[in-house]
Amino acid sequence: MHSASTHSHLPEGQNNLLSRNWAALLGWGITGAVLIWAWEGAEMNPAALIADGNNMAVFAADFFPPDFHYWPLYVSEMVTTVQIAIWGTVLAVILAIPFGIMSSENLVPWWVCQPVRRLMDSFRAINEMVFAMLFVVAVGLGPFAGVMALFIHTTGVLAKLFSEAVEAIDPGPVEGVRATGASGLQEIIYGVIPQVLPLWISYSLYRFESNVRSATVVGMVGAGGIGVILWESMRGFQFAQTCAVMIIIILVVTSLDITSQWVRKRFI
Amino acid sequence: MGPDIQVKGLSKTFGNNKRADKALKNINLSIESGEMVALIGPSGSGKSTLLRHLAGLSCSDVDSGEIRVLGQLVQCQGRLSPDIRKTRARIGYIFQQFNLVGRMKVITNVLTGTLGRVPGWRGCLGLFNTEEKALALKCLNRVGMDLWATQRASLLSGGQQQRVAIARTLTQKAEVILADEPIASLDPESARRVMEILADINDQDGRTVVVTLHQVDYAREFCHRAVALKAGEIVYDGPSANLTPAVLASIYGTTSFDIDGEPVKNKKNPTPAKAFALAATG
Repeated sequence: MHSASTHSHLPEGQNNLLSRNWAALLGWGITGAVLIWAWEGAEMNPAALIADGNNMAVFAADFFPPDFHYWPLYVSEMVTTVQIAIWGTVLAVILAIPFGIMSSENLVPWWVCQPVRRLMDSFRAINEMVFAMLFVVAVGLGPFAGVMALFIHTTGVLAKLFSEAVEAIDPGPVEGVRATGASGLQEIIYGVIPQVLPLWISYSLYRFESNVRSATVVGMVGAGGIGVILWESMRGFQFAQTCAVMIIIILVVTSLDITSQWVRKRFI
Repeated sequence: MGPDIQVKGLSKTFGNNKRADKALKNINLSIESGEMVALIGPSGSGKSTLLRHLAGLSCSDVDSGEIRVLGQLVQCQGRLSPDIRKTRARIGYIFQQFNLVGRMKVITNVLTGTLGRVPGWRGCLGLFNTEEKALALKCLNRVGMDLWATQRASLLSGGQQQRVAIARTLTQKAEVILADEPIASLDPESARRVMEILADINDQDGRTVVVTLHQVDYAREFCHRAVALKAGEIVYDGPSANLTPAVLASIYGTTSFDIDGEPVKNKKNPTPAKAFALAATG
């Protein structure tokens, strides 16, 4: 009201416009300040891209032509990588179902929901690579360590996504099932799961795609798959081989993305 | 054995606000076996809330008395009976929004009616036997929906969904049927069909039926007894034939009735019960 008296020559709506401009300006100011602050911390130096351009050109030239001499090895390791991703995802989906339901506010009391959520947060907070290093120590070098690493991290991610889907359901059908005298578990099986199934399938497929990508790097710490070759070829300055491995990764990841998109469309 | 439904001193307040208006104020009600009772009253008068308490889908205030259905305790002083699921299995509940599971087949929706009595593991795995499936089909046939058995429930019209919901309570072999605004979301033709099916279940099978209604003419046509609520209190309990325009005006607080004695509806109130849908998990 007081602004109406200071700008009494302006209609009400335009007063609002003026004051909102100041708020927007402040918002942009803060955004700019954060960007500058982060620029210094990250030691951003785009000039280096130009100054060292020659070095980079030489380096990039080493990648071409790609050296596919050992391609059967690359392909078999890539298959192992996909196998790691398959089991890492399947185990995670199986565990994410109960954990997802147990972290849904609308189905369980807070004293179940909150501890389970915190547990899932901790599964999610640690990156796959860190879990991979830990499991290499625990279960030894090889793909199984990679499976365990993906499994733990993905369980945390999927449990959260699954519970968000559950919290968005229509409570009506659940009540319809409850009214027949069904047990709590049956309410979930008949009232909740049919409603969330398309989303759950979609999330699981998406996580499978990301897990194939993640599985290509867990090998760098010895947890199996194509990452070992990638790492060894880079350390040996065999960049032509690195390039060949990267091309194979790109081809496989892309074709799996396309396949899983096709599968997903059939469920929604 | 006493009356089918017995409510003693039921009160309900929504939210924590003690000063808030009570949705139900000290309701006492008794309904005998085989009766067909209409619960009428303006929007927000508490008729849906009352019905939800009868099936233990909502919990009353802690200073309330007890609710018994078929002699079994449903809730007492705001606490659901530990045996609530057994009692719910004997109570059929029909919702305004049908509450079918849209992505499941019609027949599976109807088969959920058996969940209260089949062994738990079989219900969980969905292993219904031939006898149960035959019963479900028979019940679908009775409401004229057997040809849709393998369709997804979400593909049906409102009237069809409501008939499937009735088939679910028939499969349940419910002894008492509570219908919460069963025809409020339906077109006139479907509404009449649904009311006729409910009346037939009352008449042929002798089931007790309690139905909340907006339309007073339906109450007069299908129910012998009417109970009227206004602002959470019972203001009329007697033969529906005695619902004269003067009585209706006192219930609805309006004089604008059309020729059938139907109140001219004002803006639709959202039912507060909806927000508590999952609060009473029992």
